[in-house]
Amino acid sequence: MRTLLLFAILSLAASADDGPTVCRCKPREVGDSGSRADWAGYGKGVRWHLSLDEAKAMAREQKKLVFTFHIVGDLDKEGC
Amino acid sequence: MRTVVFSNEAVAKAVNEKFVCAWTNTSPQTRFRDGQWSKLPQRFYETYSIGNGVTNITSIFARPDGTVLSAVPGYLDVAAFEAEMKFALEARDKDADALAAEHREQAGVRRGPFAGRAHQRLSKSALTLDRITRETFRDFAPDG
Repeated sequence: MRTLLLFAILSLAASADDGPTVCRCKPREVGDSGSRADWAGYGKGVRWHLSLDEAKAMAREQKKLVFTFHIVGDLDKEGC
Repeated sequence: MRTVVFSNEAVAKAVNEKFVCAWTNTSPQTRFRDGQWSKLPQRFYETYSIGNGVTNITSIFARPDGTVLSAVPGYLDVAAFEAEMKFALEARDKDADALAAEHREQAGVRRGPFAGRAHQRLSKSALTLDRITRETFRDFAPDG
């Protein structure tokens, strides 16, 4: 009898909860932990243009060549 | 390359003077864990070997019209990157194929397992930045 009572109390407590636990965390953007700060000199030095077309147009104007770096990942965040 | 080569003061100065730079994410669907790479010690990158990561990174030098002068898959250290810059600047007003052949004949000038072949293939196929993809570099994989 005591066991049944205990089971009933626990069941009521469970039903008062919000339901199964789910992670409502917003997925973190890759590299948003400020990890770049770990790299001395990161982001200093080479000036990058995100758009290749913009880089080509600027190279024409400034009579320079284009250097483009293909990577797996995001240069502003994480990647190779 | 970001941690060592592009952060090198002399490299950055030369690149900014002679080139306009852009980067392309070749695999936007790829996600990395926070700090997966950046938590590695800088020494790890300083001792990284030329030619590693051939399918992950590619350095491409081109004319403003998009004609590729040189494309080098894989990691380059500071000295190798400077050599690539020099090649691209020399090739600017020359026949890139002929220049690549000259470079290949100079023992020790072309470093890394892929650099010479990259020049040869890409310049002969008249690739442009618009056409270049990771698929292009399959032939440069070791024994592939």
